[in-house]
Amino acid sequence: METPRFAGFASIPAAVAAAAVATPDHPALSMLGAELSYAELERRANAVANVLRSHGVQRGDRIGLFAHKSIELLVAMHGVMRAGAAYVPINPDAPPAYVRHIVEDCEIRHLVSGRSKRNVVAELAAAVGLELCLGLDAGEVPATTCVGWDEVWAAPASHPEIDVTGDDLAYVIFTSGSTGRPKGIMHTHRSALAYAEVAAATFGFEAGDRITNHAPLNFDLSTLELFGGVVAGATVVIVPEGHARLPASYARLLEDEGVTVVNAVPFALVELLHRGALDDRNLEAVRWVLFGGEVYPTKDLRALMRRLPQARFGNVYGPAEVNGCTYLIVPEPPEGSNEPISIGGLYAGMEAMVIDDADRPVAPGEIGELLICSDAHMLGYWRQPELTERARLRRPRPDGGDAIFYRTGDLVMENGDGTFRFIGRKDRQIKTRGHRVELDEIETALIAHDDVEQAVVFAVPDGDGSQQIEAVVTLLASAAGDGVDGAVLRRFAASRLPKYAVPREVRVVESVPRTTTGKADRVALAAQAMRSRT
Amino acid sequence: MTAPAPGAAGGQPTTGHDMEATLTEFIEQQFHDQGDDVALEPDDDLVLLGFDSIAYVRLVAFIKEQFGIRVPDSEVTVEQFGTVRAMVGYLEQRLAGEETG
Repeated sequence: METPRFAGFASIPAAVAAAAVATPDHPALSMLGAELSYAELERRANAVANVLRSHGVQRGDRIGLFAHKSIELLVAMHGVMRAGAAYVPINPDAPPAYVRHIVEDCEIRHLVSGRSKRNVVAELAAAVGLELCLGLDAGEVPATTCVGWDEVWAAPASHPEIDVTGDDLAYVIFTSGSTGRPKGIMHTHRSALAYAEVAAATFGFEAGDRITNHAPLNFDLSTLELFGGVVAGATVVIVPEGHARLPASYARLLEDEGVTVVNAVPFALVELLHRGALDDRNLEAVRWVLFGGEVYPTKDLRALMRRLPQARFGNVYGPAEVNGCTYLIVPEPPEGSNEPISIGGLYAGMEAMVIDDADRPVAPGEIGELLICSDAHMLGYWRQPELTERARLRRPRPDGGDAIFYRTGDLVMENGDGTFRFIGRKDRQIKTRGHRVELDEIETALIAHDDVEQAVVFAVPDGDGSQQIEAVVTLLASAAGDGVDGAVLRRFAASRLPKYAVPREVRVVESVPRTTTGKADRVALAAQAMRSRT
Repeated sequence: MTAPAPGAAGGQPTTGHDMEATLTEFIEQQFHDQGDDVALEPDDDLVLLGFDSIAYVRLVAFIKEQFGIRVPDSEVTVEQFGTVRAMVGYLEQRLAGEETG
């Protein structure tokens, strides 16, 4: 167990300020060759904060970040926190109704946006009223005050008169949520730093590191590099959306930017491997490939490990409620094995419990829900105190007082050695014909087939109260001519799963719909299947 | 799955203008299927409009079917596929290269 090397920053702005003093000229942010030093980040974040405060922003206010990736967007993120406010990242590709829901739910009056979103901002300003929009030039949206970046940079760059503390709200991230309305997960500077510092120490982030920000800001995976990078005084390399979507451009960016730490969802790395034309690239600078957010198919992981023999691979795991909680430094998976890799063990200083439906601890080797007690836990769900209370479980400490554990909503199995195997989302556990079925386990079974690239399994209500299991898969290009089709794959699944868990239908498709955070969109797939049935 | 298709087998004689119109129509249809109606200009940044990686996979398949040009993964870059105008430039070059080569 290591001790965090970066402990002690009171807030994220304090970490930026420290780097600006220690290494003022070192790049804090880089995008497509343009760089911004820590001294300049400090100056500009102050300017953003001063503009926000002059427009009435107070401690604890929520400021929407609704724009595509840019250096300005990340400067604004730091400026919002510097002003004592919390940033609320909103995916720029989200439908206007969803954007409006978040703006209303969080009572957002101040927005950071850009020209490509002008029409949506104008609709919002007319419908709900906005006091200020940064990133659009004066007059671009008549109903609200617009302040362009040039005007922001000309604002006073003195430190705003507010001391941001660990208890201040840093950000609210909305989960897409498989059912019901999206949940806003609140994190303070303390909880954000608790994770950033332990992760930066665990993976040995250094000032010389160039760490990619691939995930959109509304995906909590991004906090690893955004704050882990800052506490180490490292450079965050922004991956714009276009480069994140086109694997050949992503691969070239990794080379051109001299990236040393990659962090992305497995899906992006699978695409990088298959479509990134890696033979043409020199990626020798990469020393870490970190991934999280979904299960990485073992055969693809092994193939990428062979491509990047100098790099170490880390599986970072943790639902947004608890930030990061476990990690695995991946040993090379044994040849030919398609067994899923584990999510590893806890970071230093964290505790875990695995419990059954009656909140009783289960033995190692048994499946239960994972609960985490650490300093990195959320403050709660935005405006849902009852839901927040249900997410907590108090356990008396032998020395008095209560330890508070947070439910992750994930089913795991403790392996008996302090490491955990991820089984699936608790809400992805379904009952069919009286049996409990883990949909994620069926995906794992299908992905084990050599020709399968991705597999997505989902449940479709069949109208009489029960559920049917269906699957869609995409095949690897190398599968051409193997004669693999849905029937073959269904038989393959049947040879590895109990009968009741075998999908009723396996369909081979060209591509799988993705949510805005890059995860497979199972809700859309189930809706599609229901529509095609009526 | 993607058999190499050198030459313009299955493709039709195409001018840059036809190509631009055909691509624009296909891409607008992709947006429409997502519930998003856009009137696409040749220099519009597709990514800023929300064109995603799956839409790009479909677009590459469409180009192969429509113009008989197989675009290797390594060529699908932001520079060459970021706008309709860039795509047309790239595809015309490919066609010219295949005629002379």
